[in-house]
Amino acid sequence: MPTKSSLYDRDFYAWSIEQAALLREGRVAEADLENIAEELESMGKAEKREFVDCLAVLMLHLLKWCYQPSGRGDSWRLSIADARDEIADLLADSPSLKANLDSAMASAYRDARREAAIETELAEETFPAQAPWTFSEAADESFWPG
Amino acid sequence: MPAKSSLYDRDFYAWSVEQAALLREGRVAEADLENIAEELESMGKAEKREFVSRLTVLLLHLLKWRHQRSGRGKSWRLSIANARDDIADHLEDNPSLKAMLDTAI
Repeated sequence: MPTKSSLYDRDFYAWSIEQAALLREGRVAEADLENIAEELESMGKAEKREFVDCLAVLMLHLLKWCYQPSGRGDSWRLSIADARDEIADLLADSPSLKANLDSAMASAYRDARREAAIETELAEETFPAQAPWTFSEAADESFWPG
Repeated sequence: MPAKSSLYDRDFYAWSVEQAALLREGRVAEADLENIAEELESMGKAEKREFVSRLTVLLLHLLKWRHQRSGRGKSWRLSIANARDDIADHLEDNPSLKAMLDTAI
């Protein structure tokens, strides 16, 4: 049904209001279900990406904590604590994000390692190729490596 | 239907994946339409908020331009041009937001 989709492409705001109204009125047959499914999938992906991003921030700070101990202080401590809180909040909203923990850790660590090399001005090879901590360790409030 | 909504409250990620699959498979009767409507409305509101915030940025730069003449220069000119571009892009995606221009400003 071209007209349904075309509003989606032409005017996202108008589309979202219209679709919400159609669903609320029970006029499901008239709704643009394909694009609604698309939007739901995007929300899921965004949630997953945010989880990986928060993990990457956490591991970046943990790497700096380990490999640049001279910089340790309240500000780094706070960054680590904040990242842990955000991860806990995300997992409270979406516990199923834990199902893909290994791949989330792997891609977050890859980003963290690259960024750590830039921020510390150390060679990337200085840092372990794989995450040196498990998720549970990294997320544990009382874990301060090194 | 408590079972449908409770996943929405309990696990947003699992809910979004599940609902998308139900819609794609045509199993609309099993879908959590009320919360899907809620999410669609939130998306609409977010677009509107984003529009207002981009307008605010533009107006702020214009006010500075007008009232702080000493600061005029390339950097301010660039900020204004960028803010205008952002607004134009946003209106291109959401032309119906134009209807709200007066309230937004």
